[in-house]
Amino acid sequence: MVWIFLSSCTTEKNMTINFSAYVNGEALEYGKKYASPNGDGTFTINDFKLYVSNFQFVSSANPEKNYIEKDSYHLLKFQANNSYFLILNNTSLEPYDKIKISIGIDEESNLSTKPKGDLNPTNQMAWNWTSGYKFLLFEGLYSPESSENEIPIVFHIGFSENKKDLEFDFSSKDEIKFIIEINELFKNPNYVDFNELPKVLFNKEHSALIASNYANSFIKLK
Amino acid sequence: MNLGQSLKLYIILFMKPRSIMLGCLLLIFSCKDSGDYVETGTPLDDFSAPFYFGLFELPADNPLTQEGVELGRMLFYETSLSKDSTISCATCHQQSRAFTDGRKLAIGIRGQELDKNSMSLVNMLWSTSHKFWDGRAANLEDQALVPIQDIKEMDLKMSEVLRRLNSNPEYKIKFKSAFNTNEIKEKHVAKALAQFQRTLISQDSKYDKFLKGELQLSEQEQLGLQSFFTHPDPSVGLRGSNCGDCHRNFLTDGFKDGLDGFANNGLEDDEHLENGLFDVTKNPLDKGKFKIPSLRNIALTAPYMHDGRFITLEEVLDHYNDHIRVSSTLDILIREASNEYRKPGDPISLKLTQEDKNDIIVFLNTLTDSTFITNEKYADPHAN
Repeated sequence: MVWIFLSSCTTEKNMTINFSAYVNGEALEYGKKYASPNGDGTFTINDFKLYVSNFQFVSSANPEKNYIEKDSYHLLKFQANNSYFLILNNTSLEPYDKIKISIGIDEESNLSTKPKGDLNPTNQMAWNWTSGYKFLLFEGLYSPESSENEIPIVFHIGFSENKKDLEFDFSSKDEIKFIIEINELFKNPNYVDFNELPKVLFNKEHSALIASNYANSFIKLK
Repeated sequence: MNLGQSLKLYIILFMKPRSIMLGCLLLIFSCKDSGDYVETGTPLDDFSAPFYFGLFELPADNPLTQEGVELGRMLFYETSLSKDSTISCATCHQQSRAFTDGRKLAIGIRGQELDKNSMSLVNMLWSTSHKFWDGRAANLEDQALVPIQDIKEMDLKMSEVLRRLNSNPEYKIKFKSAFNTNEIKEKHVAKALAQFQRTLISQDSKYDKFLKGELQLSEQEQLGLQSFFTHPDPSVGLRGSNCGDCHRNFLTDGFKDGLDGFANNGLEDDEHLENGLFDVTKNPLDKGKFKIPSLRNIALTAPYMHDGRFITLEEVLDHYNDHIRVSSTLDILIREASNEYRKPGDPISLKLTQEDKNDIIVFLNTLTDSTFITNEKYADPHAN
């Protein structure tokens, strides 16, 4: 058995990135009734999580200063409120004008059981121990206007090809704030009717519809 | 490097594909103030765990030490921690039954029946820090003192606990060597009990041997495993029993994040729903949620559920397959899961076949760890 001791005791400059989740412009609140994206009835959200990864800060003027975060896998969770903060160590926004992130996980890490960043094969996002992670998890209950029935709505998206790379221009030198609009998952460009498609798990075609939507206007820079 | 600085202990693994106990332990110490922790005791040196259990953290002020664990074990089996010196922690948490008692409902002092089933104690280094079926203890240290003082359980006031221990010369020495203290205080009792319980690690079941690449599961066991960890999706013909939606990979307990390790598993309708986690959070969305237990050694820990209502694993599977009761906080994945297409309004049913159920039970039996229930390190130190 080998024991290695490391210690890190210096104070480093850190950068905070904020993700805030909204539904139809209202702050995400579990159990709250929201108007359904298709206009028929209401829905509630019980759980919503997603992986964002591969954070890169780009300096157009000085590309040699580009910053690529190591083991950059962040699980965004919204348990206590609608905002999630993550801290990137030892960097600042100063030289940068573009940020690149991905929704999902690159294939190599997705197929590994090695914990790094927020990847952990025993967490809720793991499909099972050999086949990687859900990139996005959405669970809720849909109540159509037209009937008494409540329909569970479950969207677990996570085929390798569902990873989407996003790029944003920014000018702020102080902070980065992202807005997540959950309704965009079901609207743009692919319209999803909960009556027709209340569940997407292992169907590749359906997963691709949702993934195209989260690559579009789902995450925006404030 | 000063062990007293230790804030977090991580195990990081360097693994070969599909197998191997961890080959290397990497300890990372950070430099935050470690509070009232006084450096003392010998770090536990014969400690190992499989890579697939992942990372764990220890409280900054309660690292595992040989002296602390040994003392915790003595306290765990100490009947003088009950008012009439008749029962100990081990009365309800018996090693031979994977630290349960075989009863529907636990029995406290003077034969009083409690309202909950005794929960098994296993692999707590990795589990959610919230303890008790309703999550009312924030961590294992807080939990450890509750049954001692509960009038229906061991019914001993903390002042009397400390008086008894402080007047016992052997315990005075043991606490001194574990915590460098001349006066035994409440926090020392809690820390020692927590330390011992954190060493209760089950890692030698047939399932573990399979995960380490030491043996193959039978065809039926593999079918059961696959079913256990698969959420069914009839749109692509994928069958599964969705157990793994709550009982996470490898450890088979609930998720560790926040309160994700609590769920309403459809035992009651809205009218009869118990409070459960709601009593702690006061959040209506938590009504009827209880802690998702580890299924390690599940074949030894009957009866099942927080109220011990099911005697056999067959009854448990029948519940999940056909008898889910709908309530407003019922787990969405339980509500949704079925192996056949269901129309809105159709009754909830997983639509498992008898063969599916048999496969799952055969897999659940691979979670039995005979080493764990016979390990002398966990046994009563007062026995001889």
